[in-house]
Formats: sequence, structure tokens, C-alpha cells
Amino acid sequence: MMGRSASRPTAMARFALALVTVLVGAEAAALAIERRADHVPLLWYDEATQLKVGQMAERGQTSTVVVGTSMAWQGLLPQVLAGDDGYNAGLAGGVPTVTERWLADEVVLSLRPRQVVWGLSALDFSDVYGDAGLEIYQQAPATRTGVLAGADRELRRFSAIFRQRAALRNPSLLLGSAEEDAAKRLTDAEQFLGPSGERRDFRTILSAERALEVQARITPFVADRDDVAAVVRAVEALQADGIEVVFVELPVPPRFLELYERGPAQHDQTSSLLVAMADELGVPLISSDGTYGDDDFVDYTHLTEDAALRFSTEVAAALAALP
Amino acid sequence: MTSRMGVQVAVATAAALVAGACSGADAGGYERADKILSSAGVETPAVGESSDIEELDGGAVECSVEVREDEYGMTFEVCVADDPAPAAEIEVEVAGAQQIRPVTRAERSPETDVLPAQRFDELVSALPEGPAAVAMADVGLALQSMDNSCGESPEAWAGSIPALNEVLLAAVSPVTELSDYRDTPDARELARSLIERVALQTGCERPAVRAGPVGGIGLSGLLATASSLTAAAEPLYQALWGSDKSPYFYHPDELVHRRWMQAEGQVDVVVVGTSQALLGIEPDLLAEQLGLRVGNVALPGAVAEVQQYWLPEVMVAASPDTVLWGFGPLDLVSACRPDGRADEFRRLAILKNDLLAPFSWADDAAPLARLLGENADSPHDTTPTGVTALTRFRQPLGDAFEFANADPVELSASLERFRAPFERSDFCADRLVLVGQIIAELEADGRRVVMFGMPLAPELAATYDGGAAALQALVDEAATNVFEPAGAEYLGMMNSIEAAGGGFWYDVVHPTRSGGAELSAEVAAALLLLDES
Repeated sequence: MMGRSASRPTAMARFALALVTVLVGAEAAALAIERRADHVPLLWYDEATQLKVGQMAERGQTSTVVVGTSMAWQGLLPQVLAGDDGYNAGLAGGVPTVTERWLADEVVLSLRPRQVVWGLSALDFSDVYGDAGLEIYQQAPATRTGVLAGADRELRRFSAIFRQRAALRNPSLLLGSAEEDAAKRLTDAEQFLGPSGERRDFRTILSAERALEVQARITPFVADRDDVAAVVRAVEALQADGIEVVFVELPVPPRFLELYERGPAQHDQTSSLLVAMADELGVPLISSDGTYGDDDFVDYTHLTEDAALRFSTEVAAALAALP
Repeated sequence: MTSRMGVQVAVATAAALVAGACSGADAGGYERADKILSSAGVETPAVGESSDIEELDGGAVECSVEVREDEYGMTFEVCVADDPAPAAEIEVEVAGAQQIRPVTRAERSPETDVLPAQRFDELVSALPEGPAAVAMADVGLALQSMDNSCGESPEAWAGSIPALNEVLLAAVSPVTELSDYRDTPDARELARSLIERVALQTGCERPAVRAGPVGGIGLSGLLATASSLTAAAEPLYQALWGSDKSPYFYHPDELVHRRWMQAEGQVDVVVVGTSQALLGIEPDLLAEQLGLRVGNVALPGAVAEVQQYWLPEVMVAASPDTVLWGFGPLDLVSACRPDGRADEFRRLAILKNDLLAPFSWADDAAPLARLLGENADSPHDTTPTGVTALTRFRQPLGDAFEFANADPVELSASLERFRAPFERSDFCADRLVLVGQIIAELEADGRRVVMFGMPLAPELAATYDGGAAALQALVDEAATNVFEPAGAEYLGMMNSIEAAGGGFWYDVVHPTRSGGAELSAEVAAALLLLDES
């Protein structure tokens, strides 16, 4: 009995020592990753978002800001809409439930815009699309909410273990590829990100898989009440801050319309929804007349470089004509 | 091409101003959202608000709401017209967001020893004599016509649905005097039978081959019409078509595989994996060379996260002695971030159980047998069905794959799609751990597990740091550190395929049909060598 009793503190001390050793070792490994790789852990929704946060912090106040999904991100050139005083804060998969938070968390605080131009399309309101994006946004370290998220952000300030947690979890990152991996992801994002936040990915992708992927996002096509409510809340908040909101109905190619379960006419629902939304919220709506053809798009949703310029020019003229 | 931009400035109406002033009472924005949706007249997921039903019923009428429960335990609200109107003018509205709760044994219908889909003819014959019976008999003929084209021509099959709807619309129109029949148990059963008969293709004359695209065939109109018979069709539809892929099934090929396993019973070898294994292994060729009964139950996109749910079902249905799992660099490098496909598989499995629970035949040892049809033949009797099913799945887009020949365009395009994780040297460590656990469980269950390294096209392998050799080393390392310690054997196939001539690859990850035959022969030879040693 005596022996066992006497050995307990010793065992506890050994355990504590081992724990400290492990923690110190992990901290040292994490610091080594940071020093060696200039490794920037992903804290935001995706790499492009992380870059945009930096761009926006550098810009400061900007008069006109575009938001929306990658369709708006690629199709609306801020320099055409507002010269140097414009920025495109669109996000890949930035459906209203995501954009609502993105606006409140970062865009409005960083850019203090006078006008928000919100590019919208069927994908923004399709019930079967967008949940994954919102989940990623809600789980990203910089935008998680709750007590644990706050604690995590605090811990990241002073501990490399927490900053490099993802890297520590993945053995391949510890084996020398961390810097290449992080740099590659950021390089990919930088490659397609313009100086005013616009998207410049003009690679042609017209494969059957891509068509299936897009079709799955609008099949069955029914409106997501959560997304409509998110637009309502976001617009109410912007208007309360004295920020003007303008909706832009984004064009889609005929090949997109053919993907609807019940044919191209189903797309009319999106137009009707936007009209009703603009009317209810007292927001101007700029609509394309639908004459953009397949050749104006690099895939099923994104405009070509020339078509984006043309569309932005037309939207700029319409914005200028607003009362 | 020029574009005219129409600018509509929505002037803040009095209603908008009032709503805005009252926004504090609508903190979630849902009141205004509902007003917008209602004003736009668009479809929302809320049950009973589909535009089809509104069109069919001719708009809302003054009514009293009654809460009812059908024979399957589903509660729903029916808006019964205060002033009885012709049947087609009664608006049917079902409680939104209804969860289908488990049904107790006492609640089960005594008349459910067969699927509703299989009772269609019986229910039609029980209709009272008159125009409705005649018209509904025409519906039966239209269904027979669909049964004939099932598995033969997906386009003809899917294209015949609108025609079926036309016939059905005539059958339920006011002139057929169905008002007394509406919402009777038989009417509900008939509507349910019709929807399930079409959706599950139980009358298909070639049940082992998919009739056509299960998803996206536009059954909404048919459902709306059937809804004039019963309110119960709507929640059924919600449950059936909740997935954007297919009702009940993770992928159409799952239905094909289940039918095959039901028909074949216990087999010697099953091939599992993703579409790489599905297109890469011809079970008939393997069976011939090994002298064993072999089936390929690989599923597109079914990485280990999906296999953890699919394999137990395969073990029950096919009880194979050997599991041959195609697992290569694509599994170790690509799609490491979970994208919900495993959750989707599990959700649909739960959905199947929930839907089958109300039926007494769910007490059978294999309740899915009813669902799959009673005369299922082996899908391998006529064509390599894995390829056929996948090809048919693609066809509705008019952009069908032709896996028979190598396609330089697809090779190039697929390289762009797949290269990113290879260039980043991604590594799915969590997936590898899961593979080890699955292998250990299969081994503990008395199965022999043989992993074979699915190859990649050289173009894709070259994008990885260190190229094909580094990828080979990666898979070899996985074999040494995970597969073999867990009890599996390993066949490295990458080197032998690298030496293969042109025409092997359709794209950078899928072989052509001849490539699949070549790989199958290689795997068979390697298996025989393994057994000899």
C-alpha cells in the first residue's frame, strides 16, 4: 500500500512532464513550420476569400462594392462600374446565406461602401445549392461563432500549435511539403484574382461532368426560403446603415437553361422572384434581356472576358441612369 | 450580339414601407421572404405550394382545414371547400416540413403484403364502372408501354411520361366523376401505386438495366395530377425525391447492383471501389479467368467514406468470400475534404428504412427484394452493365460518354479537373485510416480482402511531385503500413498499365472498354499468381 501511495505523485509528475514535453515539442514543430515555410494557415472560407480580406483591409473606404456568387464575381467588373472606387467582393458559392454574413463580418466594416451591387441568379435561390458553402463559412476559423470559436481565435494569437493545427494534423505537411502546399493554394487563388477583387478564370469547361454538376444545383428547382430571408435581412441591415443596394439579374447561357428539369421556361421563376424581391425591398433591379449566347460564357454560368466587359459596361450605364 | 438592359426601379410601395417599418417584428426576415415568394408565385420546398398543384386546382378557394392521418401514419392537412365544388377545384395542402415518423406495427395497413406499385392493375379494376374506369385503364396501357421501352431506350421511356400524364389528367378530370372516389383509401393507394410504379420501374421488362434517368425526369406534373386523387401523394413525393440524385438510391448504379445481388445471391468475388473500378473491371472476364462467380458493385464516387456504409450491405446481399477493392492514387490524393457524399448515402439508407417500415413485407429477411422486382436477371447477361448504366445516366444531357474509345478532348479536359490536388500533393490521411478500419472489419467477418492499385493516366501522374514513381511509392507505402497490417493482400497494378499502349484511357482516370478488359486480365493473372504463391 505504502509503495503504491508513494508512487502516485511520481507517476503524476512523470505524466505532467511528458505532457509538457509533448506540448513544447508540438509548439516547436509548429513554429518550425511557420519559420521554414512562411506558411499562412487558411483561416477564411477559402484561399481567395483570405486574399480578399487582405485586399479590402488595404483599400479602406470604397464607394461601390459588388457581392454575390462566382457568377457576379466574374461578370461584374468593379473598375467598369466605379473606376478606382469599386471593388468586387463576390465569393465562390457566395449564395445569400453566405453573403449576408460576409457583408456583415467583413465587407461593410472594411470598405464602408456607399452602394452595394448584388448580382443574383438562379443559383442564389436554388434550395439544393449553397448549404455546403455556408457550412464551410461557418466552420472557418475566422468566421466561426460561439465561445469555443472565440477561445480558438485567442489561442491562435499566442500559440503556433493552434495556428498550425491543420498542418500538425496532416503528417504530409510535417514531412516537408507544407510550404509548397500552402504556397500552391494561394498561388492558384492569386492567379484568378484581379486587383479590384474581380475573378479572372476564363478556362473553358464544357464537359458532361460540369453539366451534371450545374444541373444538380438546380434540380429540382425550388426557391430556398432561407436564401430569400437572408437577402431580406442583409438589405434591411444595409439600408439601415444608409447604404444603397442595387440588384443585378445575371445572364445565363442557353446551355444553362437546357439543364432545368422542366425546360428553359423554369428560369422565369428567378426573374419573377427578383422582381418581387426588388418591389418588396424597394431596391432597383437591373436585368439583362437574355440575349447573351453560349459563346459569351466559358462554361455553364461564367461570362467570358469580353462578355464580362460588355455586361459590366451595360450595368454601369444602367446604374448611372438610376434616379 | 447586343444586349439591351432593362432597368426596373422598384419604387418602395406603401406595403414595402409598412413591412420595413415593422421589420423589428420580422427579425428573421421570413415574413417578408414569404411575402416575396408568394408574390413571385415561385415554387418552394414547403409541401403543397407547388405551382403544378395550384395550376391543377385552379387557385385557392374558401375552405376549412382538417387534419387527417392516412393509413401509413402520415398526418396532413386538407383544405376542404366550404361550398362543395367539383373535385378538381379542391385545393390540397399538406403540412410543411413533415417528418415521416416510424410507424408502429399496430398502425400498419393489413393490406400491404405487396408494394403499392404492384397493385395498380388490381386497384384500377376495382374502380366503379364509368368514364373513370375506362380512362384509368388507358393509364394502365400507357404504363405497359413504358414497361416495354424500359431498359431499351431511356429517351423513349422518359419522353413517355408527359403522355402518361395527359392520359392521367383525362382520367381525373371532373367529367370522369371521380369526386366520390377522391381521398378514399383506394384513391390514395392508387395515386401512390402510380407514382411508385413509375419511379421504381417495377414493371420494367429489363429490370437489371436502368430504364432511364431516375432523377430529373419531371415527375412533378404526374405527381400534381395524382395529387388530385389524394393528398398522401405529396409527402410521398417529398420523401422519394428529396435527393437531387435519385430516390432511395445514392446513384442509379446502386439500383442495378442491388438487383444483380438479389438475383445472383451468394457469390465468390465482388469488386468494389469508385467509378475507376466500375469501368476498369469487367466481372465476366474476371469470372471466366478465375472460374469463380464475380460481380462488380463499385459505385461512382464511392471512396472509403461511402464504402463504410455500402460494404456492409454488399456483405449481407452477396456474402462474397473475397472483396477486390480498387484503390489507387486517386483515392489517396483527390477529394480529401468530405463533400457530403457519405452523408448522402447514409441519409438515403435511413430514408429507405423509414419508407419501407409501414409495409408488412418489411418484416421479410430482405425487404428490398420487393422493391427491386421479382424477376431480376443478372445485369451481366447481356452487356457490361456498369458501363451501360453510367452511360445511360449521362444521356439525358445529350452529352453521353462513349467509353468504347479513347477521347483526346476528354483526356485533356479531365486533366484540368483532376490535376489540382495532385499538383498540391494533397494526402487523404484520414481516409487511409478509415480504409484500415474497414479492411480489419471485413477480415474479422471472415472475408478475404485484396486491394489492387488502380492506375492513372501518365498525364495526370506527371502533375504530382515526383510523377508516377512517387505515386506508386505512396500506394506501396499505404499497402505496407495500412493494408497489409489490417490483413489485406495487395496487388500493385500501376507499372504494368504504364507500359500499355494507346487507347487504354478514356480520360485521365477512367479506362476505355478495351482498357478495362486489359486491366481485368492483368488483375485476374495477378490474383492467380497470388494464389499460387
